[in-house]
Amino acid sequence: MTRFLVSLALCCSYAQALPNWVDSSHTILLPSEVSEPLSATHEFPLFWWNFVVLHLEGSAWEQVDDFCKRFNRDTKAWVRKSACGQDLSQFEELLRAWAADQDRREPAPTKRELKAALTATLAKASLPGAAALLPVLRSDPLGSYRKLQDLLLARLQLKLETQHGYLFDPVTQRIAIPIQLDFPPNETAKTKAFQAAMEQALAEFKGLHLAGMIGPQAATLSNERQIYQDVHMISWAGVFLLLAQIVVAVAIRRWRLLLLAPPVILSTLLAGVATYFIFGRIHGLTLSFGPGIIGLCLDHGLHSCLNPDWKGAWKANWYGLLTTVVALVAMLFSAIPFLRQLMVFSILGLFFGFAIYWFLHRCFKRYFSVEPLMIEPKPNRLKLAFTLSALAALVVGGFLLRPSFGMQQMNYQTAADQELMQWFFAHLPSESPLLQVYGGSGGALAPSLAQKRFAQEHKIELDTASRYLPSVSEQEDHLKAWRGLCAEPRSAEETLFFAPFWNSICTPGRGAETLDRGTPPAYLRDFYFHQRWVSLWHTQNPHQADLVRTVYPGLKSLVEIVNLFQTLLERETRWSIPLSIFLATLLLWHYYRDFYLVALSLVPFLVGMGVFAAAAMAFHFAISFISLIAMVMLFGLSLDYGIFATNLYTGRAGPTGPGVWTSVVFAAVVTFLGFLPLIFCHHPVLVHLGEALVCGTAGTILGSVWGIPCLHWIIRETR
Amino acid sequence: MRMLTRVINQYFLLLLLVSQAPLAEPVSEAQLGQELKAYRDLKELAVTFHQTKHLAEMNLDLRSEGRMALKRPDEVVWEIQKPSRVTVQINRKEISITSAGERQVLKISELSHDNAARGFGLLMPWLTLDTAALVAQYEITSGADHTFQFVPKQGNSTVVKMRAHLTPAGHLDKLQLFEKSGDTLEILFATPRIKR
Repeated sequence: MTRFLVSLALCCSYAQALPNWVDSSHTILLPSEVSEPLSATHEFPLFWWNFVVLHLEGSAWEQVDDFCKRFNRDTKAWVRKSACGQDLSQFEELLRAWAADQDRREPAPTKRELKAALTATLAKASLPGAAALLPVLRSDPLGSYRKLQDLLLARLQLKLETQHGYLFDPVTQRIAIPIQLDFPPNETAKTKAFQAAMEQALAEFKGLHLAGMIGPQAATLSNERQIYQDVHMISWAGVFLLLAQIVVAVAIRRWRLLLLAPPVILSTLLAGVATYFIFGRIHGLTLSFGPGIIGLCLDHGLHSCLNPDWKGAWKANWYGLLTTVVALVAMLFSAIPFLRQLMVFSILGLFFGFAIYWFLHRCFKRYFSVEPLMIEPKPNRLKLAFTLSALAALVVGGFLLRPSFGMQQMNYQTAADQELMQWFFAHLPSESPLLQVYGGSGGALAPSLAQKRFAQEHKIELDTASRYLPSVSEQEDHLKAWRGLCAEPRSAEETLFFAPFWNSICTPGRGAETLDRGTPPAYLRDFYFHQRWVSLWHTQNPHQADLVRTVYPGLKSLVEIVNLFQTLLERETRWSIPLSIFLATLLLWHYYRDFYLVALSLVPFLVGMGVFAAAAMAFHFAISFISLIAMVMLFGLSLDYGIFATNLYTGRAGPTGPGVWTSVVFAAVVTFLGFLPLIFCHHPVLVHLGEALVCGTAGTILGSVWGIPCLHWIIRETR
Repeated sequence: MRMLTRVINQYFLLLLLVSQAPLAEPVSEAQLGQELKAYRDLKELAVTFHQTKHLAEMNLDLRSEGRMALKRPDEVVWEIQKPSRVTVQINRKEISITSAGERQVLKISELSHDNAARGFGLLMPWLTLDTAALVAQYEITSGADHTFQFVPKQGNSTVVKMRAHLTPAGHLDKLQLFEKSGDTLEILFATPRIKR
């Protein structure tokens, strides 16, 4: 379960810093049939458990006890339940609610059994040091808390031995302390405060060291922290690079190029507003990646700016835009809502950008005309060899590289974290439970009882609300029988000492708990969130899982939900990538009516992919979902460059060489510099984006200025 | 959830601490050894008791009676017989609690150091009548009329002090425990039966 919880936090962590009106939920990443169970993993408190892992030096067990006392005291504000030490007050509310509902849950004892339990409990209470235990003894004289203890222990599935009251691994000398936090994983400010208090408490104990913290809150904070650090670094590098570009533009006396930036910003804003109105909200991930795609419209601005007098420039731009858009349109039919929203945002932004540049060019041509640099690449054998090598690398990479679109790919972990997670997962059961979310206004007890009956019939372990509370009719029978005990004579000691117990069972008008009246009892709150309930099917083998699915179709384990993201993407990329390339090729054919020119215009894309493939093989880059988004961007920009450069070889009157090459080089350099800082980041989301775009853009620019002229040259020579 | 064990265990520790040894003048090891001579070389010990627990919060007195038995080297039975039978048995490996027909067995190695291991450590000097360890773990002072006071040297005990009274023959006949919570426990012991 925890494997999933950890990976879950990942996909959205980078969106946490966004304003509240921006959607930052992960539900957009999956189709609706699986997004609901996925939501459960951060909404239901059942999944808010984290494990604080301590390394014990020597055998300083007394330090662990002292640490727990300090820890429980100092972190009280953020912790719902702590299994650090044996502090009964951590479970006080739970025990009280459990004891109070004993008359609903349990059949009433006989008069004799009750009398025996009362006297035995008084005997226990007469032992020294019982002060902390008194509330439990007074409200639960029949000791029903032991059943709750068994249920809770069964829920904790960590296979570690217990030593001195702690889950302990003698091989690594690690102690795992389960802590349930009192807030969902996305409230990272609270996690930060909790961790600070924990580390401060730990600092006083020399024999104890924090090995790490495992769980959804810990993973979310870890990812967010790294994103912040990376973004901080990118911001400074970005400012420096932007200033450098401004200085260069002014130094080469082409400051008007700077006027091309505001239209990109304006089109992004317009696309954002339009997307918001279409979808009702806009996801943080769309805002993170969309502007990068919309920025491709700068290619068209540069192209027209540097070829102001060529009438075919806007036709070339138009086809450049369309070839980009077909790639996006193919992904518009994705089953993943996020991709659909991202594509709508990007398509709208590209069209807005195109329209604004066209308008500015038409109305303010003199402000949007720039003298090109004298760039005229000459083909030679070295450049040709590079181009052919890149194409060969693409072919080899196609066989050797295997993308992994799993959500885990987007999780930030240090080497120490990875080692800790591997150790932790080695102690978890291999089967992940099936997750069932149910309920609504009709109440949870009836469906939960049906689940329980099925589980009992087929000997499947199930953790559900009805495991803790019987049916309404049973409850009513129990209540009636318990109330009959109120009239029994009792001693003054028994009356006074067990007052909480008598008050509970003898309250007039006490009815059955139907679980449809708002907040449920404390012992069931882990399973409840806003009128919805969750059950966990602990199936032991695939046969049991299939059996459950025959009655409750569509149930998935937590691991399966995570894997589904990868499965969906793999399934979609199988048709969307060939379709995008096919549609773009059709458009190019429509533009050129010549297959040779079509092939030539695809060279920058192929070389860009080849350079990325070579780098990925050489440096073991991971190819993830983020890399896929980068590829879409690369496809868009490389076809723009391909069309602009190929227009020089049509054999008809066209643009000037310097105008085309300057626009291609400027556009590529701006893109390259824009994404360069990303490769120095540490968070995989940013690193994957940076690796693909920096290598891909570098390959694309070389494919344009070296590849197209060289291939044209060698083919012409051959002919 | 193991609080009950902790409570019972500490109870034994403290109880055995004083019940197995009539205490001597404070505080040298030699003097303590002299006071414990009545229990020296014993193999088995059995004693009955009456106790009164005063619960400060409710201003309620709980009265009970029972017996305690020690079999060396390390077996202890503490049994409350009235008003209801609760039996606790301790050896080096485990603690078992039997009450109202239910038996709960807890392994010492799985229990918290705070609740059991440390307590067991405290118990062992009494099981072995290790005077050096007793002096090391308690501040022991004597008062008038064979009364002795024991204060644990470690401040995090649930019992803040104990007061014991010895008969002229050197047997413990009265023990008072003062808890951090304000509750008190007074135990009156009969004359022990000792087998050597």
